[in-house]
Amino acid sequence: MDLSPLFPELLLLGLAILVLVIDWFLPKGKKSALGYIAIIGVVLIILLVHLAYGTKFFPGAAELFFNFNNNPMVFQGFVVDAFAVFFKKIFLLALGVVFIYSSFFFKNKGENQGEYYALMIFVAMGCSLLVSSSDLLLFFVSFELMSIPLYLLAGFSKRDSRSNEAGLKYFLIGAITSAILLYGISLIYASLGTTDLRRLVAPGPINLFHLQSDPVLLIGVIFVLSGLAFKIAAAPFHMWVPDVYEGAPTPVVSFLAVGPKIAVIGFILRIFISSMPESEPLWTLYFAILSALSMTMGNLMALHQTNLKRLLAYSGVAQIGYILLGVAAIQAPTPIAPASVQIGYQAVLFYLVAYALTELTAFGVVTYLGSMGRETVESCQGLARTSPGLAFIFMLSLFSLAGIPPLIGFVGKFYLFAAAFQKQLYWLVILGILNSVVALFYYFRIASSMYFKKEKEETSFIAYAPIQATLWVIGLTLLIIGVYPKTVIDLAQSALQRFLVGF
Amino acid sequence: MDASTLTLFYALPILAAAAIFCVPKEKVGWVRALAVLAGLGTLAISIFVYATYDPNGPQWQFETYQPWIPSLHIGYHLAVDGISVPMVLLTGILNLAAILISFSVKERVKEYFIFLLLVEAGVAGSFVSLDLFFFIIFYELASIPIYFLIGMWGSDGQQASRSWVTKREFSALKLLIYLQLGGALILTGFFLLYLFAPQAGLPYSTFDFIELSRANFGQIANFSRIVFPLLFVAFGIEAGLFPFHTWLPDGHSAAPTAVSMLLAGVLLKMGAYGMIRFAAGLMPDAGKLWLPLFGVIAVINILYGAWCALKQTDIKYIIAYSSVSHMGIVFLGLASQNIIGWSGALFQMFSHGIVTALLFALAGILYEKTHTRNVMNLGGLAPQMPFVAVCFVLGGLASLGLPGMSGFVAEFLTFMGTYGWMKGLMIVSTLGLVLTALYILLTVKKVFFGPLNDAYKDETYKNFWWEKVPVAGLIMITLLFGIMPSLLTALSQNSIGPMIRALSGMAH
Repeated sequence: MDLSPLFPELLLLGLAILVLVIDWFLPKGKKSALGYIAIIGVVLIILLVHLAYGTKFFPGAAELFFNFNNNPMVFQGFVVDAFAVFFKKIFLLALGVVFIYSSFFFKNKGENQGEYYALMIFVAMGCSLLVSSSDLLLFFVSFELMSIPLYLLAGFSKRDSRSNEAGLKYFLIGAITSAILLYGISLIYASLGTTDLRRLVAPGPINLFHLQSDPVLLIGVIFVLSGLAFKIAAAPFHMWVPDVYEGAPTPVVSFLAVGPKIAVIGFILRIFISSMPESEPLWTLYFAILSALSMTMGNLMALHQTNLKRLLAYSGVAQIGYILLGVAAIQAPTPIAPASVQIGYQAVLFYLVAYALTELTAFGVVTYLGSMGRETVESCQGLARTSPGLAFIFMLSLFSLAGIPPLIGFVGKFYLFAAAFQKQLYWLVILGILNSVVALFYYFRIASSMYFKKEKEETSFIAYAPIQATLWVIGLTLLIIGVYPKTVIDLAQSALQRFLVGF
Repeated sequence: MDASTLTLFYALPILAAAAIFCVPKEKVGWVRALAVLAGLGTLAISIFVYATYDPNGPQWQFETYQPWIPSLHIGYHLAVDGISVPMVLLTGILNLAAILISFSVKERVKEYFIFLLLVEAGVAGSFVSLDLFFFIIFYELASIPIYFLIGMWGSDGQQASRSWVTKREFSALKLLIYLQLGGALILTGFFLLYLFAPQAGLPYSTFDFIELSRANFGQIANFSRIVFPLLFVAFGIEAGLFPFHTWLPDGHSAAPTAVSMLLAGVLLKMGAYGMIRFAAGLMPDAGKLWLPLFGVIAVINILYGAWCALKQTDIKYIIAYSSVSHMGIVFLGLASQNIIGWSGALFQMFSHGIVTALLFALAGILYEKTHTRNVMNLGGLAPQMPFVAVCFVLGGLASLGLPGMSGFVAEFLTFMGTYGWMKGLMIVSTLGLVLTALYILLTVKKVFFGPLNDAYKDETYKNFWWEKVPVAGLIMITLLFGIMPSLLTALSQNSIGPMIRALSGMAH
């Protein structure tokens, strides 16, 4: 059996085991070395994946490894195409960034770091498998691999009762989600007799779109969709979000907000609408309603939050709403209009990159602030005076979330709205645009707290070069891609080349 | 030089802002020097553009084009025509004036100049960009930093603050929400134009203005009838159109002097420019239908603004409401749909920009010296501060339209244009001139003449060079364009002509 298509996941597994083994041999005071090992490991994996899957930047080196770019390789319900690789790269980059935050977070806390890094790597591995799965069983296994370590991680600060609450809450909701999902999958299997997605979506008598004629199938699909909506925290399935975000350690939240959500969106993109042209109006309506609810509820609930992490949690619900607006705007690809030329697909992929970068920046700043005991909007007062650089980067990330030009979030939203307009979802776009105006209110509340108010008490900043450098790099990336978005759009387009062909 | 001129025009302030970001904050002199350099540079470029623009040549000059997001047909497209050249000149002049007047800022100088230069870059960019995507970017770049400028360096004024927020934060937030709502509506309108372009005769959807202007949106049933008022009102929010003008007095009065100058001087003009360029320029057929209604609103603007100005006691509120009134003249000129009226409107945009910036600069200087803006507390200051008094009288006269000043030419042309279109409106609106004369002269009398308030008896006031230079410069410009109006009107004739013909239905 050729395991080579699995090599990013296998490398991650190796890294996790390496971290655990080294953890045994390290004396108690030197555990922070694990963070550096994990960071270096992830960087090496990123480089290897980059070389293996080939890009414009290393055309020659790609030949050394495998050549997946031209013919998507399908392997036992496992598909590696440019689309999946695009997502894998996002997860790996996010993991690297989050590890830099984590090494800062654990700087003065020596507890159980080996387990922490290993669990985080497992989450990333689950995300990475999820976007490649083309069988409902593999999908469920990778979904669990992605979720279960996160329950532990959410409760990782074991002496903090809020963290315990977050862990328990996330676990209970997550368990119900998995149960619903699995039940949905079993109903689909009962109705159609297969879990192979390629057969489920292929034209013919056995496929996923004969919903109207088959109530068992309909219920199964609804259950699967609800399970997915729970994981991405789309309203009305979002109630776990604020408590989990508030209680969980901030580096964990920064990955929780990015990895699993993006992975599930990737799965949704692959299955619904894209491979179901017959029932396109139904999916469009479904995702449009989910999007409208998420945007509106997220923004309205965020208005009154005083805790930064709760505020970002609700803002994250609204962000998922914008992404789902893009999902609703895509059209089933046809030979004449394949996915790579449709602005709906491009818009969603672009916005996912924008979302990942922006959330990572925002949570990086919140990690930094949290280490000084600053957790509320009020505690940001005077930040622009005491550390102008940090305030500037935080402002960039908030503005990018709000969709203010010339930041990456603006280009992303512009793209999404243009796509939805093209699909004639006028009401949704107008709702989205009005929502962006409402959102300004709470994003600017933080900005005004940082810039207008005087600091109440002096707090000293812990200088830590890696996190500061990382924040500057991704903060400025938000600006640079916002001004010149073409590179990322090209990436998104190349990820959509041959999307669903041979799937 | 030709291709990169306009890029440099908006990029200089951004470059200066980036350079200031790297200067340590103790080095105030460096910060100011960099800002002044950027101001001088933009002024030089704007004069260069103004002087070399050939009104008899092709409509679009200094054109530069670079594909940006090909999948959405977005390009980096800059050019100027006879309508934007006066605005470019105005921007160049006010940029430098605002930077100089900002030398009075003592707190957090470095951050202040960064934000100010970003506003200037945004304004400059929006007047020269011909791509709707880039227009939105520059629009936001011009409006977002103003929030910070007002919130951080603004004044709380004499108005009682609300319990939950100080006056200047309230004003900043109000301005932000109004301008962002305007921005959101503009975005919606632009998307509609983008989406419907193929139905209007274009081969594909595009955000490029020149390509969109070749489309005939009138041929889509009901399209322009809905989108025209949407865009017109969206830009009207920024231009101070009644009843969306209420952010304007609050914002102007709370803003630091230089920001008031830019807000009244060029930001309002951005709104009016957008109305001309995007609403009337792309959907002339609907313009014919809707503009009479906007003519009526324009008259309300003129009269209501003047009436409010008459009732105010805060000198910055007086000038702010006078801006509402004077922007009404711009809208009236646009509504008249003839060449004379439009020339008047364009002239008023330029002239009001200069005059109101002058008045705000003087109000700022006055506040610096006396620490009050309430005209009731002032009085008899003419002997104490002769320079300010003389300049304020001159500025006031320009504002009320004394012949020989630029305001006169603008009002004369506008009313003449309106007379040819709708005599009743013109006659009603001239009542605004009477009110204007009344509030200007009353303010001058209360502040500079009459008995001297004892508090200011023993004070002697010195004017710094950075106060004198911009004020004197602005007065010279008003006089120059008042005496030789053809310096501006000749520029725009050939650009206005085709638009007027389209409005009157002769183009198609």
